[in-house]
Amino acid sequence: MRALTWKGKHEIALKHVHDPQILNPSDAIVKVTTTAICGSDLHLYNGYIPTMRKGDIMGHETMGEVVEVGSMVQNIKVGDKIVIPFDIGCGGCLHCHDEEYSACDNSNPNFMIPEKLYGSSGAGIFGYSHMYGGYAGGQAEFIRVPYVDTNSLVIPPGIDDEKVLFLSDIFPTGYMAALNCDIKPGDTVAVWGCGPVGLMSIKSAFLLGAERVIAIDHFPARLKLAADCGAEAINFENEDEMLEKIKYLTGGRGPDSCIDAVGMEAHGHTVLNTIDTVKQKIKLTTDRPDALRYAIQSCRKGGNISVPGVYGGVLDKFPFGAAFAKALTFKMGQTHTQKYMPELLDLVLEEKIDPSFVISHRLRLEDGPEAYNQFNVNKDEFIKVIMKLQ
Amino acid sequence: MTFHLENQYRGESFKAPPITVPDKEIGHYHSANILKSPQFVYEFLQNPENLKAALKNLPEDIENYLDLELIRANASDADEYDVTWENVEDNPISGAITFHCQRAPENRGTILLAQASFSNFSSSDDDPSELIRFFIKRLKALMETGVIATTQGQPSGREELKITH
Repeated sequence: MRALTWKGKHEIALKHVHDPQILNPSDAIVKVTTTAICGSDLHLYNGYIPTMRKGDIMGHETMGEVVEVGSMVQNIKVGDKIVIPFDIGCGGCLHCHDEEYSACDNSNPNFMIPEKLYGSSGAGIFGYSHMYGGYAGGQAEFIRVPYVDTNSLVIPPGIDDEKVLFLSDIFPTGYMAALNCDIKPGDTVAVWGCGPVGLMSIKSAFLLGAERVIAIDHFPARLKLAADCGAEAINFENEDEMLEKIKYLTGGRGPDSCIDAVGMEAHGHTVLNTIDTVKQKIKLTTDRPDALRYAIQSCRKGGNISVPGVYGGVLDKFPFGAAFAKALTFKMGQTHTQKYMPELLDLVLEEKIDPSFVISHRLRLEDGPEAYNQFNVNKDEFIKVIMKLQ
Repeated sequence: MTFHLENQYRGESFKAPPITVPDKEIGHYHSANILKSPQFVYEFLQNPENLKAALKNLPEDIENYLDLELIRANASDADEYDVTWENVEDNPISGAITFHCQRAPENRGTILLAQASFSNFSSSDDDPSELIRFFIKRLKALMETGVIATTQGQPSGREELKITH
């Protein structure tokens, strides 16, 4: 089969590789129909996530048709069209039982790496480094899905892939980010980053009853999409005193909740972000957390900080004193995707939301290497790339 | 494998007994929370096929160095269980691994406490404690899911595949 593979920093290659096979009796093999490049794939592309190996197959936003199932599989059958969550739950541990799938105990065969780095290991993730299990990803013609009974959402016939593909990651991720804000009537939510996850967070915040959403970014096309979603858009590059502006817009209090949908590669020209950028380049720090700093500084007293953006290591100049003084609540983490997929599918089927509004480019798998490059350097135009295989 | 999976076990509300850390001299010790009943874990650990399955493909071919025989299986009235496996006498590695199973706090399944003491357990630089931890994690995975997560045998771009047209 053909697959997009990681060759090194800023290098993705289309290669012919062996087809996947059933390795455990709870596996399934899926013929991929549509896959996407996620913003968090760029952390791999830019070399900021450790434990990638040359030749790793990329991709964690995938759907397709089941072509083979193992002998233990009970709920999924050949011919089913499924969306595959990006994180892999075993379905049998305490965390999966409590619907904390991204904290699964059993799905990461390389659990020793995150145990050393983080104290314990979360779930394996498709195509997201050996620290997260080293699973082959879905930017390929076929993918093996472990524990497929847990890691699949069957899609009714006749539904366009584009409407449901993002149930694999960005829609549940934006939704969980908004849920983590504990939104109450009248609330204002501020969202840093108007990429696909930020846009899904904006949509979800309104779905969950937010009165207002303030969206912060510096790419005009992304800010326009945020405004189209109903948010009040702020281009931080045009604002000398962004914190003051956000405070003014919220009656002097600050947003009730702040979502950091940026993560470890924040942009901007603040002194701290400039220092972060230099230190990150020479590997003296792992993350550029400037969006998170702003979120903490902006948030109202007693408010919520929700972090769907990916972080990898230890954060410099993290204003924990401000968080403590303002009694902020933090919620974060990889999404428990499987928990939210069914209810979000219902919203799509009821036409309450069409997540395909984020798609900017519909390409082929062979366009993948250049699509990664463009997605990385031309974020204003390349907002969301999907690749169709049929 | 001869075991069969039971439904996920949450049991009823329960205040668990305290856990004390063993003396360092005892060897290596690890614990795991298993979402199965103590009785299930107890029966599972007495089956040599299950232990073999957990040892398979461990680093340094541990399976080749261990030839375990069951020497003790004990159930108490307090829903606590002990299982001890010992390497056979003529094996160059001597030692034993003891499992203690007790109900987890509230309704969270079973706490499995494992203590192992082996001489010459590893001929390489591998940390025997890490290998025991691998073993316990694999036993937990087998009990909770029936399989051990793996990526061995999956495709990657590291293989050169010749395409003929």
